Amino acid sequence: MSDQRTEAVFDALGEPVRRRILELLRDGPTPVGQLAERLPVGRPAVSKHLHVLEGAGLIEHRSVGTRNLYALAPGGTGVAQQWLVSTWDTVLAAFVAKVGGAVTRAEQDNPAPAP
Amino acid sequence: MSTLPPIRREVLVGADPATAFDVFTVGIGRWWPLKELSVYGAGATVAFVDGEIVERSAEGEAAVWGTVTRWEPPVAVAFTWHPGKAPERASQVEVTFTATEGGTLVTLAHGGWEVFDDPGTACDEYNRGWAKVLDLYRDEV
Repeated sequence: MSDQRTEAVFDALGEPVRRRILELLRDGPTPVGQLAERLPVGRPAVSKHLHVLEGAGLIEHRSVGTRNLYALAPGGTGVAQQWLVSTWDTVLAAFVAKVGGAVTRAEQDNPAPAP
Repeated sequence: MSTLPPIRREVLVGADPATAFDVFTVGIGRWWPLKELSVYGAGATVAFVDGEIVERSAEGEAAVWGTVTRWEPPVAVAFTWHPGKAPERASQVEVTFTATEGGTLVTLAHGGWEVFDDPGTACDEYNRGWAKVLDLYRDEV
C-alpha cells in the first residue's frame, strides 16, 4: 500500500466537513445539491471537498441520467485501517521490547519466563 | 462503511502497571521507533513535556504530536494525536494499563474520526451555516 494513498486518506479524513460528507453518504448515493444543502459551507467548497474525497478513494461518483450522484467507495477506509493497525503494532512491539520480559497476547499459551 | 471506527490493539507485558505506564510515558524517547515513525526522522527525540508530546529534530526544531487529555498513572493516559498536522485535525489515542496475573495488559485505542466528537466545532460550523441560510431567506423575503 502506498504512502501517498495513506497520506491522501488521512488528509481527507482530517477535515470535519469532509467527515460530515462521509456521514451523509451513509444513507446512500446522493446528488451534490442535496449534500450541499446540509453542509455549512458554500457550493464551491463542497465541490472542492468532494474532489479531495474522491482523490483519496473514499467516495466515487456516477452519473444517473442527468443526475450527478456521489456514494461511499466500498472498502475506501480499509486501506487506512490496515495502515493504522500495522503502525500501532510496530509502535507496541518497540514498547514491549523496551519494557522487557514481555509476551504478546497471541503467545499467551507459551508465556516468556518472568524477568 | 463511512468514517473510520476506532483501532484497538493490546499487548501483555511482564512488568507491573506503574513500570509499564512509566516506560510508555516518561520513557517514550527510549523506545518509540523514530526512524520509521516521526516528523523529522532519524536523529530526532521525543518526550512528554508540560502536557504535550513533543518531537525535536537534531537541529532543535519542534513538532507537537498531541496534547495530554488524561494522565492517571498507573491506570491510563490519553492524548490528542496530530503529528505533522494542525491540532484542529487531531484524532484521539487512549492507552490503559490493567494489572493481570504476572504483568500488565496494555490496551491502545485510536479513534476520534467521528464527526460529532467535538460538539463545539460542529456547533460553530452549523451556526455559520444557519447564519448563511437566514441571510438568504431574509434577502428572499
